[in-house]
Amino acid sequence: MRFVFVNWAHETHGSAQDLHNYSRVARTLGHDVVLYGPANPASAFNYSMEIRDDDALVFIFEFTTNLEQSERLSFLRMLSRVPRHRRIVIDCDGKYNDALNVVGDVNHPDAASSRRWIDVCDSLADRIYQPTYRPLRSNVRPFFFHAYNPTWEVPIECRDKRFGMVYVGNNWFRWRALRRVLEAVEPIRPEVGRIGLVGHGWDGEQSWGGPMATGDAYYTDLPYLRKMGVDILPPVRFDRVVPCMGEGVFSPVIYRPLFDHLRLVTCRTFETPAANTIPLFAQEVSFVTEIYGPDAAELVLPERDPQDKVLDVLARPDYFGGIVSRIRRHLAATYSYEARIHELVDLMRN
Amino acid sequence: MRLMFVYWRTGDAGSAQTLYGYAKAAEAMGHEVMLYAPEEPFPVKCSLNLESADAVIFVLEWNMYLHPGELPKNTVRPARPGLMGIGHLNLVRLMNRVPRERRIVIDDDGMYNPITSVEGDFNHTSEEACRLRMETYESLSDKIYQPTLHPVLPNVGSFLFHAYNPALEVPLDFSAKELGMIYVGSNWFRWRPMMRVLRALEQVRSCVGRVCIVGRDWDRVPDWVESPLREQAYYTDPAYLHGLDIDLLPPIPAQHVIATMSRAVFNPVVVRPIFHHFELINPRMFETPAANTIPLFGLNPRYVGEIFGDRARELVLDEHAADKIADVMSRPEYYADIVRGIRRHLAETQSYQKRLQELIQIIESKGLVALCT
Repeated sequence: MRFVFVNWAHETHGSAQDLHNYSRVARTLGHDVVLYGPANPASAFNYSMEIRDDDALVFIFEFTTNLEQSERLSFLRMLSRVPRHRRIVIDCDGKYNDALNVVGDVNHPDAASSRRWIDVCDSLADRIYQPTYRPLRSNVRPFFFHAYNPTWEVPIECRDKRFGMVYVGNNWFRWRALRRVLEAVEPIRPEVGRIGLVGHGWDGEQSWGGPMATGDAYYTDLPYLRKMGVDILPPVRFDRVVPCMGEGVFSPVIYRPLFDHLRLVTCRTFETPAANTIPLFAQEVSFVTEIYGPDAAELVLPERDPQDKVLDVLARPDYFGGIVSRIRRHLAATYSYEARIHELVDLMRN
Repeated sequence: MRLMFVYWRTGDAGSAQTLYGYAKAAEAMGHEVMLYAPEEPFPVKCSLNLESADAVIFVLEWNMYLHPGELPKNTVRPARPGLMGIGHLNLVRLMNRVPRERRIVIDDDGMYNPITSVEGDFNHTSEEACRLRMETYESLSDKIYQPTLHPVLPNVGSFLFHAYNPALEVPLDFSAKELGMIYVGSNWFRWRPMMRVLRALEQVRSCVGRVCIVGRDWDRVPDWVESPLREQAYYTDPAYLHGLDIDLLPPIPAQHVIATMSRAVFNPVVVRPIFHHFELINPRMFETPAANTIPLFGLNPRYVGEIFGDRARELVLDEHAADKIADVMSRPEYYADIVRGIRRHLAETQSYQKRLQELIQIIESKGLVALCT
């Protein structure tokens, strides 16, 4: 089956890793995944503008969907070629919901924007999916677009690391979540060693993700980061994410508050356990175990005395490395790209 | 009937006045005309509410993505993404809500034709651009119409779209004209037809008086346009114009066009070579006869006769164009009588009311209709 993914992709954020992997894994399964757009030899993505009548169109909607540099008449060509029953929408950012505000994080600036988004998605397809086990709207089904690739796995070896902690990801509403991690580290700061923060927007740069109705998207506290001795480093391309995380003994897994609320997963959900690092989860235990299996509960940063968990990870990396190995097996069995592609094929045939 | 148009929301865009004419006519006839667009101040109401739309009419021109011009140089234009600035996601909503048979394409610039080149003018920059453009129109609708009586392709209907508004007529009075000739319009591929008028003018320059050209890109080639389009579409010869003692004036708002044309004894009516080739109508062709001036047509006589009536052929600039100009200057009242006849003819055959009835006929038909314009 030929899948045409529709997403205005960037190589340093969004679903870049997934887009690349679907294309590669699909080929091994006898399918074809292309990303809609003009061919670009300099890009890691498999672009094509060819649309065939029997293609399956997968609209992967993220914040970039609204951007104005989107290919101008692509939707027109797609809708006139591919029948509605061969189109699905994957609403990655939980925008196919009423307007929500979760401690300053929003999916829409207002109710009208929410209605418009829902209308656009409904105009494209009858089937709407979100990467969560718990969609809020009754017509939305779970589909974990983001996936795990066992070939990313790097053996866990926590000696001689450049960093005690590394977080790889952009700011974009994640300040509160990061702050919670840093506050856990604060009482034991000297024991942690060097801390690296890799991505856009942590240094207060304002415009990298476009305008947003709320300042929370870009909020950061540079004096606090300086006080904590955090090194802010530029973003890395998607294929450098796993090696980069591997430079820290542990890597926190943090989401936007909205994503925590909707229990949405991201590409980083699956990248962190594959890296040569110990993931420390900043989510509720039930959310973590739902995705990573029961063993992952031990890697959740607790509400009380979280610094003890950090100290324990630093002291016994081999023990926690064993837990990561079990998580990896669970993810490989449940969330692989192969599994996702089979699921997509079933969705389209059904 | 509630008709929604997709078109630029800028006052100086080619068909903005035409849409305003439709809106007024619709009001008088118990219909409603709106623009499918985010709500913003514009003479025609804008709305994204498709619920009660009976049809959507796409008025498509050369530039479907970025309307050039309207703001002063170095001003950052507000982004208008998607087709004709309606936004790419709004296009998705439209395509889902309005059934194909209720969508109509008006191909204003003859783009839905094979790649064609005439006197340095062309409808597409390449075969690939032509294919993509035609595919786009076909994606929107089966009902593709062009404002010509003679479409080239068999699957294109004839619908003149632009219309004449008798309410705009200015009484003809040549007693105190400040100018001999004025042309109101931008350059955009019109240098060659303008040159033919000027060559004739050159022979009788002394009896014409002051001459003005009002509009964009006659004084210099715009440097913001990429080559080769810059040279192809905007060629001008300011030294020649200066030598003929022609005043070049900046563009004016659309609502001042008729008053400005009325300042001169005569106005040449010239169109892009590709328009002439496809015999396409544009709004200025119906505005000029409403002004207090003598229109002199730089068009072929058959084309002129079919649209403006047989007597209008007397106003065609043929191989004796210089003599014609001199004659118009010496006895404008004689030619004014012809213009009055043209006005009566246009009011009867090319009114907005008539156009709207034709449009409704197109909307209600199952396929292409043959209109008896």
